[in-house]
Amino acid sequence: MSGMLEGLRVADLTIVTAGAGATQVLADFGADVIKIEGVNRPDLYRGGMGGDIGDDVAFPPFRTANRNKRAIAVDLKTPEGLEVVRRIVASSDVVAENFRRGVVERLGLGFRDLVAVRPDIVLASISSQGVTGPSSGLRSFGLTLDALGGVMSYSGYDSDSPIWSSARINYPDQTANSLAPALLIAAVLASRRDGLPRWLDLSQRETVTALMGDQVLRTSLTGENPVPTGNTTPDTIEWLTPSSGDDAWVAISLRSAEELELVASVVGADLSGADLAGAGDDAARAALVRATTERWSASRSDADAAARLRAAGVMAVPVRSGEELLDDPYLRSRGWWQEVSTPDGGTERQRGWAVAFDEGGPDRVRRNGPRIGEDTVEVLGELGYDADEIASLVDRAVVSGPAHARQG
Amino acid sequence: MTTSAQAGARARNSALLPATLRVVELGESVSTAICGRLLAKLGAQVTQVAVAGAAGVLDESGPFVGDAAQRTSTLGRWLRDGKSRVEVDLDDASARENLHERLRSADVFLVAGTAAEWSARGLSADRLAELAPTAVIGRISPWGESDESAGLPSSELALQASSGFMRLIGDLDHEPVRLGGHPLRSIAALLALDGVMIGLFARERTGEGSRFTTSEFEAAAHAEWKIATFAQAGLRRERRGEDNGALVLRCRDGHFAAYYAPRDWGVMKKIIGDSRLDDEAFDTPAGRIENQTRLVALIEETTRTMSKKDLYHATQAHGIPAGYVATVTDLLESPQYVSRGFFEPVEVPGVGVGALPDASWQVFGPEDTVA
Repeated sequence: MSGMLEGLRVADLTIVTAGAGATQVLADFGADVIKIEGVNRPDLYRGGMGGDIGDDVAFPPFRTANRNKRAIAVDLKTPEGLEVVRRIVASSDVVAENFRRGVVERLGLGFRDLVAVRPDIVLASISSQGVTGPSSGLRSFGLTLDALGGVMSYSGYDSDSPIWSSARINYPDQTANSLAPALLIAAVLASRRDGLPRWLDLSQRETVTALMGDQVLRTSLTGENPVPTGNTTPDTIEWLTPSSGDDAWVAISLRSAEELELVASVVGADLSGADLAGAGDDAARAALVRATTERWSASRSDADAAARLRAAGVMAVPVRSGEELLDDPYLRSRGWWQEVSTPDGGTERQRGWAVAFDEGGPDRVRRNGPRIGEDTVEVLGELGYDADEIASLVDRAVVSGPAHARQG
Repeated sequence: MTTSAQAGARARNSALLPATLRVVELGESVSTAICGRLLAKLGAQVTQVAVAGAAGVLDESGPFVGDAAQRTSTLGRWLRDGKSRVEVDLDDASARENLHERLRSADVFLVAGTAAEWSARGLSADRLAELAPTAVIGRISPWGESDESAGLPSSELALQASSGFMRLIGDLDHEPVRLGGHPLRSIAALLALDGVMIGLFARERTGEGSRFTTSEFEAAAHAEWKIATFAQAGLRRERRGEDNGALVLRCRDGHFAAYYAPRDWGVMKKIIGDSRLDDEAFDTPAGRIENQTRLVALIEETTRTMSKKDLYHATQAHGIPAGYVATVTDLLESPQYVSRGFFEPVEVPGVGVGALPDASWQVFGPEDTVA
C-alpha cells in the first residue's frame, strides 16, 4: 500500500463521482478517508442514480470511486448523529462535500460550525457554480455544465448541433475529481503551516471554462466565437477516415501541411496534378488527400490502415471503444489495471493510479468499495465510544452497520 | 475585452502554496503547461525552460490573433501567463551550468516528453534528482515510454480516438466526433498536479523527493474509468447519442440543454405546455428514447420561440438540471462569472487587452463574508 498520504484524514461527505472520485485518489495514496452516509440516505450512486440502491455495492462504478475508503452510516438529523460526525471532524484535516448549496449549513456542518470543532479545518466544497453568485444554488448535471462551461459551444458536427461529452464520460465530473485531490492536499498543507482554517470553493463550471483559456482570450480580443467544426479545427489538419467493418474509423492528425505529402505517398494521392500544381493551397491539397484516403481506407481494417500510415510517419490511430483499453498492451505493461474482487466472488479490473510513482505509490487496492456502514463500529471505537454506547446508537438507529442499514 | 468581463470585482484568492515554492517546466507541451499554470495559480513561482532549437508547441498552435506581421497564439499567451521563461542552448557549457544552478533550487519539475528525450539532453530523472534531491519530479509523455507509441506526437484528436472517448460522443448517423479544446490533455495536467501535491505532502513528512510518470493516454484511460467497469459487468453497451434523459434543444438564440430524471417528465411537459407530449408513446423513458426524433421536433416547436436563458431559468425554477449552451461571449458576460470576478485582464502586445479565466477555485477564511 502507499503511505504517501499517511497522516491525512478526510471526513468524506461526497457523493456520486465529482466528489467521490476525488477522495478515491486520496484514499489510493494512503489517506484515511471515512465515507459518511445517512442511515436512510446513502450515496445515491450506490444505485447508479436510478433510485433503487438494491445490493449496496452492486453498481460497478461505485466500487471504483469508493475503494480504499472506510464507511460509516449516521443519521445526521439527530443530535447524537451530528455529534458522531463532529468527532470525526475533530480528528480530520479536511471535510469534503459536493451537496447543493446550503445543505451542509442545514446539517449543522457549515464552515463556521466546523471551525468551532476544529480550528484549522479545511472545508472543500465541490459545487456546480461555486458557493457565491446568483447561480450558486442551481442544479446541474454533466450535460448542463458542458453547456454552461462553454466547451459544448465548439463541440459537435456543426453550429446547429452542439454536442456534450455523454453520460458515460461526463467531462465536468472528471475534471472536478481530477483537480480536487491536489487542491485538498494544498489546502491541508497551508492550514498545517499557519494553523488557520480554509474554505475551498471549487466550481465545476469554472473548471470547464478555466481549461479553455485560449478560446476565451481569442474571443475577448476579437469578438469571434469558436463554433463546432466536427473533427477538424480551423488551425489543424485532422479528420476521421472510414475503414472496413461496422462503424470503424481511423483518426489522422497532421502536425503541418507538409505532412500531407506523407499521407499522399501512402494512399496514392497525386499532389502534382494540374489542378493543384503551383496553387499552394493547403486546403485544396488537404481535401484531395482526404478524399483519396477515404477511398483507400474503406477496404482496410482500422488497425491496418493506421499502421501503414504510422509507418510513414503519420499520426494515425483507430477509433477504439473504451472496453478495448482493458486489453491495451501499454496499459498492461504498466500494470495499470488493478484487479479487485467483486461481491459475487469474481474479479474486476479497475482503473489504475492517478500517476505512477517510482517508489512509495500504491501497489494494490487494499480495500474494496465499502458497504453502507461497513466500518461504523470500527470508526466509533476509534472515536472513543465504548461497546455499550455503540450498541445503544445502533439500537436507536442513530448509526448503522451493514446488517442494519437500509438496503433499498 | 467586453465591458462585463472588466466590470467584475477582482478579489479572488486561489493561493495555497508558499510563494517561495519553485516549479520548473522542462520543455513544452499543452499538458505540462496547464499543470504549470495551475501551480502558478496556487501561488508557486513557475519558470518554463525552453530548449533552444526545439519546436515551440504552444506558439505554433492556434487560435491566433493579430495580423500576419505579429501573429500571436492565444494558446501560448494563456499558458505562459504568470510564468517566467528562459531559453537555454544545451550545447553551450556556460548556459548549461547556469541552467543547473537554476535547477538546484527547484522544488518541482514538470518534464514534457519521454525519459529517452531528456536523457539524450543530459537531463535524465537521475540527473535532476542529483541536482535537486528533495524535488518532486513529474514527467508527462504523450503516449507513454515503452512501446511503439512512445515516439508519437501529442494530439488531442488521436487521444480521444484511441482511448474510446469519442466513441461515445455524437450520433450514430455520423462519425464519432471529438470534444472541442484540449479535454484529455487537460485531465493529464490535472492528474500531474495531483502527483505534484502527493509528492509535496510526502516530502513534508520525510524530507525526501520523489518521481512520478504519467502520459496523456494514461490520463485518458483514467477519465474513462466507467466504461471498462460497465463492460466487465456485462451491462448494456451504450452507443453514442443514446443518453437517456439528455435533451439539447434549439432555441431562438442558440441551444438549451437539460437532463431530466424520469420523475421530472411531468414537469418538463408543463414547462413546454404542448398537449401533444401527452401521447402515450412518450410516457416511459424507453418510449421517449425510441421516439426521440419526434419528441425533440415537437418540443422544439415551442423552444424555438424562446430564449435559451429564459428556458434555463424556467427549468431551474422547477429543480431540473438545465443550462444554456454558452458561447464564449456568453461566458464573458455571465452574471455568475462577473459576480465572482472570474476573468482577469491580460495584454497581448499589438492586439489589445483581453481576458483570461482565473483559477476555478477560491479560498475563503473565517473573516470572509461568505463564511
